[in-house]
Amino acid sequence: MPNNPFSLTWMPDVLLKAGLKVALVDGWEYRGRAEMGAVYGVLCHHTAGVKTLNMPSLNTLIKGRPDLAGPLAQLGLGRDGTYYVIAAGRCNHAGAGSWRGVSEGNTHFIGIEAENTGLPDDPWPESQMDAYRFGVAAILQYLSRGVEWCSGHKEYALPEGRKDDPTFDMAAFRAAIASLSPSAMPPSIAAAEAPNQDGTPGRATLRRGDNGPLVETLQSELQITPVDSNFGSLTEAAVRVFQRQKGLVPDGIVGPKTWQALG
Amino acid sequence: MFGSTVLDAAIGLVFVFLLASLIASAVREGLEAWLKTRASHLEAGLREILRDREGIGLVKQFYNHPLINSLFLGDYAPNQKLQTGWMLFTRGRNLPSYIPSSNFAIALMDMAARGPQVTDSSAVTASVTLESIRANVGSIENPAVQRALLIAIDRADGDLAKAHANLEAWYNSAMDRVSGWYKRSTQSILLALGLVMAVALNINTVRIGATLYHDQSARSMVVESAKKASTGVMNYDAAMTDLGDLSLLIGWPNTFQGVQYEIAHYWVSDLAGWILTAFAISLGAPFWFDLLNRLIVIRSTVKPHQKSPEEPSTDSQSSSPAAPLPTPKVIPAPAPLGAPNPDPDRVADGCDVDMTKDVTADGMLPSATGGVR
Repeated sequence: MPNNPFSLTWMPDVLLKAGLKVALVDGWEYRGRAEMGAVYGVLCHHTAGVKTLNMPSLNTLIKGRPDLAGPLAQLGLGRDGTYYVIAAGRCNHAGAGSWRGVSEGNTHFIGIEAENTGLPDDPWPESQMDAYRFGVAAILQYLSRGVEWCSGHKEYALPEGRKDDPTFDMAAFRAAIASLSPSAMPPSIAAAEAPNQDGTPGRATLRRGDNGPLVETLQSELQITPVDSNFGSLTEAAVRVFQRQKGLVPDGIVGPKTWQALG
Repeated sequence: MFGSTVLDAAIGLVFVFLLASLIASAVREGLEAWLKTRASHLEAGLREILRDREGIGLVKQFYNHPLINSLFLGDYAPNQKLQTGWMLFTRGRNLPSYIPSSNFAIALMDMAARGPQVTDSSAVTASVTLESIRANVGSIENPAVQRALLIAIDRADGDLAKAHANLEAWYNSAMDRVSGWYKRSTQSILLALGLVMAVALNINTVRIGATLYHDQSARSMVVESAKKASTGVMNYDAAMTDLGDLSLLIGWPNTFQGVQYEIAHYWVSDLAGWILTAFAISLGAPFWFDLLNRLIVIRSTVKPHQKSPEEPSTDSQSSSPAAPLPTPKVIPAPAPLGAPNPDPDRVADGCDVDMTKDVTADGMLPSATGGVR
């Protein structure tokens, strides 16, 4: 492990400031193949992972495979729109190709691997696409780069047609990013339910790391054992399962909509 | 690939200079539109040629002659500050920037034949012939100009048109000097503008050259833009946009601390780089445009070598065997000294990796923050 973190340590702050959900993978500051070169822009990918779960490809993105060392991207984008910050250094994501004359994608582009099978039966959830657009916009703004510096792996990769990710239309994606107003934020979750009719405050939004009697209520509602009033990873996973059953955004955060579904 | 590397780096550098000097030239033209220094240079030139350094005698009469007076608004008033000799920012006021040589010759002959004062009606009816000029030349109270007029008549062999041509030639040779003054003052202004731009935008010749020489992708990107620019029409807006795209080569770090740090650590080499840039900008956009076109022609005749077979493909080690080989268009850089990333896997590609093996369960995901407001 190197003594100093790599240079992309600004990413979480930039993404959080843009109103996005951000999760840090342990040791992300020191993870990378080497230091980045001058950062020109963003390269968009999809993971081609399995069809269920929020970010099933995360382990592979971190560690790589026997034939290719990880990390395989700086950022992973879960189906719920959470950015998983994997590495602050260079990653093996681009391969051979060229975008606007830049032929060393790994050195000069930040790779974002969005969770999607890449198959026609796996539509992109709106919450994930929102986060994709706002995240890329925030990074490009930080880099003082125009939207033309957001490239799809299928556009970058050479020979042409070597890659098909991401499956959505990159020109439309760039146009949507360009049309975002600088102050726009992705849809967010309210910090609590609306107050009840008698004036008592509504139930607070709960997420991993919270604790207290309200978490205990939640755990008994979802029949999670043990009921320890600590919102941990298992409670979060159970909330995601519940949200999927109810057709909600499976982000593991118990906001007003999830409370309503719980009754 | 040595020759091609040097050539490409040179093209990149010339391209940066071209953009910067285009912007400097545009600013200089804006200054000129406001100050009209060309007109004051012309005024000073006329004072020299007509031997009237104060601008109160013949020069005033000349400017007020109907043929010249019609070229500008109002009447001539001598510019008192013109004698100083330092004419970088002398204002030209209402005076014309150009006077056609034929207007000059006709006006001068007319003033000699009919008297220099337009209000003086005594000699108005006399026709302009060589004889009348010779007879009345004394009315111009300026021995030097009298002499010049007489020489022009003497060498005309009795032909009025030839005398006219002689006077035009005399005027044109003086105007060559005037445009020389203007060029020199433009160059000093461009030098000053160049220095301001070099520091303000941190356009550092030394550092740009080093980056271009060592960074293959930066080089190829700049060369691509340069090729586009050498064929298209360049103006101020296009130059600003292109220069903005070069933020990898120029510009200050985003934070003020960054600027302080950079200045504290590199200021000596920066100073040299900026001064070089300023001199380059003072050469003017036409020079750099011409040079860029020549270099690009040379580049198109020097083909880069094919990749030699003993060089291992950097892709094969890291990607799965199914990955197709890169096309010849992508030539992995031969890792020059000081290159940031000499690792073999810098063109490795994670997208062939099977993501479905080591599945990360939701319960194993790290904790997220943000998104709740």
